[in-house]
Amino acid sequence: MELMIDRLTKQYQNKIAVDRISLTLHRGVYGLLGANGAGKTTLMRMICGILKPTGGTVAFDGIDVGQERYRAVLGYLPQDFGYYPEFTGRDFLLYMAALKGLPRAVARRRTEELLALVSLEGAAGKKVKTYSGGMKQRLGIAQALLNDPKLLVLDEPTAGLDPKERVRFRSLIEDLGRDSIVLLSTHIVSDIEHIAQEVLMMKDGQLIYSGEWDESRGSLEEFYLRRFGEE
Amino acid sequence: MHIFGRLYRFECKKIWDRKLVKTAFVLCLLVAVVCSTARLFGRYVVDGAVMGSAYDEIRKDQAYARALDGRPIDQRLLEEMSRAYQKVRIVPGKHYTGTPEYQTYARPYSEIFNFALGNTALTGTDIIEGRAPTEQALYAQRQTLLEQNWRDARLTEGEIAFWTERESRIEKPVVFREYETYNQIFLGYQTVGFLVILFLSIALSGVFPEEHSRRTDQLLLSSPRGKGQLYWAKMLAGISCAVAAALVLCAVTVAITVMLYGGGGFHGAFQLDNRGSSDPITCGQAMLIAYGNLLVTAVLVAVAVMLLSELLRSSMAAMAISAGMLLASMLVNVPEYDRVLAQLWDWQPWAFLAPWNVFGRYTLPVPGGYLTAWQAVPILYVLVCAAAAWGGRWVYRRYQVSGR
Repeated sequence: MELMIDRLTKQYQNKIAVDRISLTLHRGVYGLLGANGAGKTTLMRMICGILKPTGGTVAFDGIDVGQERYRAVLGYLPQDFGYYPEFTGRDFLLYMAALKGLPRAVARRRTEELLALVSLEGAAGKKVKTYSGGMKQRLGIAQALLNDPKLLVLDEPTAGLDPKERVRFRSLIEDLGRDSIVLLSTHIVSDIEHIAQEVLMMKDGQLIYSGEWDESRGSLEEFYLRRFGEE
Repeated sequence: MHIFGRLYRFECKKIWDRKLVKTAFVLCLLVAVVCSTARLFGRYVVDGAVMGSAYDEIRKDQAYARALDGRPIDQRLLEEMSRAYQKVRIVPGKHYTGTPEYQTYARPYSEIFNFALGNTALTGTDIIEGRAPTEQALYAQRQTLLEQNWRDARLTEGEIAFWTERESRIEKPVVFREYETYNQIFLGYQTVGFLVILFLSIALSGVFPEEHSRRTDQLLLSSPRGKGQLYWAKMLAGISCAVAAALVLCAVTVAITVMLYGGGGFHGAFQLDNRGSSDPITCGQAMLIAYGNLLVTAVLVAVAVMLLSELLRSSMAAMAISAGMLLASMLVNVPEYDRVLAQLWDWQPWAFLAPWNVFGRYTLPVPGGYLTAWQAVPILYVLVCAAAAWGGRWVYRRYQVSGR
């Protein structure tokens, strides 16, 4: 299981949002850190095939990002996305399951499992427009997991979650990282400090640090601030 | 296929779930009902004097027409009509329909009178003064007027020969039928078309842009079926919406009209209602043809609105263009001397809602002959729809989620 990112670049008219990033990711949790405008979201969109790079390639086990087979192994939680207000939570997941090509029986089973996993089984029949921010975020996490993704891309997944939910979410990500490649971006250093095997840091579109992290090396937050100070 | 079916059902739900769509549909339905019944609530006025309610007068005219049902418009009937109208006295400053002689003797023949006027260059006064046409003169003058009309419309010699041959297939003398139902249906046809297109412009202009404005596009485009099957599911849901809206609005209009006017005249010659037509069809066939064309037009407009909205990334812009075309088609008339432009304008979907364009004189030359507007336009629309939908898929798949 390997995600190969090779010289990935996104250039707008007068700005390079992502500058020749090359990475090879294997099974595990990868934490992507960076300030606003560092290029995290642009990088993730290119990894998810919804933004065409100016240059470079992305492939999962040799399958190019543009192919349907690639999207079949992908789970994606965008940073800021909407819902269909008149859909119930269950409808939303069933719709996403159809988009992911899951057979009807599997879709129903996974929908119920994931509703329970994100503690939304009680609100599954209610319209999404009645959900709180945290409930919507949990529903977003559930849709990303519908197809048991081999590659899970989570852009600011803990936004809107309360502290208790965040702890639960971290443990869920840790579990998922055992069988999949999980790439998660956040501003909140503590979100990845304990669960990410490898930390990636971006600044001005460039990858300024990539390496493993463990608690014996001290505080990630201090390291993060120091790295940004150095740059 | 099962997955496509599920996607299709969800896309239909997305369209119908919007309050704006429900409200617009209910309003269109109400307008269709009001337009179908409005004529009955009027008054029958001659020279400023109210003669009675419109409903009673329509009933009276229908009863007179039924008395003539099945009779050929031949020499005998024309003479009867002429004798009846000669009893009418023309009083200066008064309309002849206000006279008791008209009400008693002439009115029962008013449909034959109208048929004679519509197919000749005569005036009402000519007939009242005893210059009604003979059977032979009536149909000969009809032919002359048609030929003049075809030449004015810049038809080619081949087209004129084509229409002459079709005209020759119309049974003459034309057999009179009471056809008020079909008269009303064709009078309201453009209104129904207008409502269908207006509704589709509102309902479908958000199918694609709302995914972008809601930011759900990120989820859709990153999913395995989001770039292929989903596009077709959205298209099919929009087309289904168009067909359903057109069917419901047409069915409601027809049901009300048949209920109010009795439904007679299905087998009557279409020329009773549309004097300028040389299509050898009945009123009933013409109605089915017109509604069939309306369905295909609705489908093309649905595809056009959805594609425009995706190209412009704006539901408002797509809605404005569609509504603008609708308005322009009602107000703008391209002169016949510019034949190609006039035909293109008359055959574009927003103008093709008018029955005079559906049963118009322009044709499409094909190997071995010509196709009339109502034969050619649906085929052209289906081809344009297929090409546009395929092109739209290309645009949709290449959408880039950036900025925000």
